[in-house]
Amino acid sequence: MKTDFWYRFFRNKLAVAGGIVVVALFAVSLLAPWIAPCDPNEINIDRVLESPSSEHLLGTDQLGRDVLSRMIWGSRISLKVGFVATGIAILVGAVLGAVAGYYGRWVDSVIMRFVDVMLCFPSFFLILAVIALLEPSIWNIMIVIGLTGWMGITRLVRADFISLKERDFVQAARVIGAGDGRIIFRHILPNAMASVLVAATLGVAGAILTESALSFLGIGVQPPTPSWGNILTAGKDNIDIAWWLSLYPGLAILITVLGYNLLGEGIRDSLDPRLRE
Amino acid sequence: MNTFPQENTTNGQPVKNAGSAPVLLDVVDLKKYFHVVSGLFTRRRSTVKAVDGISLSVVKGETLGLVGESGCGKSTLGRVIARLETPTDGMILFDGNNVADIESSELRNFRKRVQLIFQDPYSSLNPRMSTGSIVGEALVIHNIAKGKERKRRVSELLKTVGLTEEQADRYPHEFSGGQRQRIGIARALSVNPDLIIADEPVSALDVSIQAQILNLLKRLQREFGLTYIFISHDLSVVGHVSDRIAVMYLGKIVELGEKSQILQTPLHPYTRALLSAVPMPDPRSKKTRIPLAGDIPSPFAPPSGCAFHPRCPFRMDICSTLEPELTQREDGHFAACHLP
Repeated sequence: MKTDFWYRFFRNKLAVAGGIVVVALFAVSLLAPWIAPCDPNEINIDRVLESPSSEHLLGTDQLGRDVLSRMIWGSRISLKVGFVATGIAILVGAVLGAVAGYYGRWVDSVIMRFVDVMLCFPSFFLILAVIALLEPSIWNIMIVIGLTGWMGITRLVRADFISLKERDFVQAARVIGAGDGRIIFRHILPNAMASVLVAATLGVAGAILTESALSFLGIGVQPPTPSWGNILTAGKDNIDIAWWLSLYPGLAILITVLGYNLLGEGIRDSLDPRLRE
Repeated sequence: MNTFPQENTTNGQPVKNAGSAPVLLDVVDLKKYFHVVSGLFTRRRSTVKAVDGISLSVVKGETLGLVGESGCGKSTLGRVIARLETPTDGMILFDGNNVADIESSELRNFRKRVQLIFQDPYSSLNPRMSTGSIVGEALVIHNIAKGKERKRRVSELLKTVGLTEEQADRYPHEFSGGQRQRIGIARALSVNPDLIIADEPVSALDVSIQAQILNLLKRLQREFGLTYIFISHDLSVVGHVSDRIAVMYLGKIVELGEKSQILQTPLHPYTRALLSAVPMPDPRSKKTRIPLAGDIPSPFAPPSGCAFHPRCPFRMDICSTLEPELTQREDGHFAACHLP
């Protein structure tokens, strides 16, 4: 079963490419202090908006800071936001989905109607509104993105629970006297993790994109902390004279999101070939 | 009738008399109805009477076979007795106590005494748990054994059902169907139950493996003094293991008696039809087959009178209007039929 998974995964070239992108990003953000050529916050008024050169590979920004170094440090923000926000979404989504699917009846109705209500809000505007009220710190961003992104996971986990709870091994657990908690967490949830894993991988991509968008609008990660989104903002103001300031962070966001999406889809296809349709 | 190799010779023992041994389980007028709501605008409620007023008793140490076509409610009856389902009405007297609507701690204690063996060994084991944790889980739940003692009990249980203690670390997908069923049996044995309800325990297995599992169940019954309710659609399997046999049709018992009475002098036309459908290993034996016309009727709209009358080759006028009662015809032999 496990060898099948890896065999199918490695035959899928796009998924492997996505995996390489994700691993490379991890390496870059972990090694940021060692591989960044300059201090990301070192201002140099003499060398403002220099085009890419051998000294500054991706040029400098409006304060003369090295763009490559800022992007390398910015990848840490992206990863942190992606994983913490998705972690929150999984925690909320899995617990609510498990309870809804397992208990059914009115519990299910209440939770799923709440999901419907949450889905009615255009989540980006909800995030904007909440961030406008709170101070725009990175932790607030992660929490808000997480708390607006759990609905899909709830639906997935609920669907898995509804079908898994009728399976014989769950009935068998009940016959030997297992309580609801043990059945939910030891018997059903481990068998529902596959679809959660896929949703989580795709969710990381979404969270990174949302964080970039918020930072671009100036209510995300605040300068001088570098983030791909706020580098883009600077790029937008100077796009006629400094194209590199918009192009490189844009490409970084594109490649990262694409990498996570390809990886997530690859995992899904490899877990169960029948899910492909 | 008996096509399986025998492991023991006690099969020919005189069948137990209901009066001689203490009664372990007494089911009184048990009913389990399922309500199905259909229709989008006009809410129609239809009722399936999966178990419809069944009474039977099981004596300590015996094996009661439960046969019937698929859909006749035999599995539901097993699940209700094991309290996986709550009965709609009626009593389940286990060791003299009514367990029909017990809950929480009482139900947990009941779980230590009644266990279920499932039909499909491929879906009855959690694919994410090792054999050792599957078999040892009940020991944790009921605080029977912990740590080293638990490990020892698990390997003992595995050996009892013919597996090895090294196999405790393996996962279900590494086992064959017969081995998986052994794991399921070890799990059922782990709480030292009095009654084991075996719901088609061999139907999903090859014939050669079926015999092994049936012989294992018989050996365990002798060793641990177990009582079985053995559910199957296969009369030859039921005939092999049972002391008494109950035949079910559409949620009701139509015939109940000692094994010899059911197999040799069946009274109900349905039992006769089932018996005539059992393939014989001897090609020269001449048998008149009683063909059963049509399928089992829809449980949403059971026929009037005797539920079997539309398919019965001996039906009379009374059969479509009056439902026959289950009455005693000879000592311990009951049938529900208008035929004399």
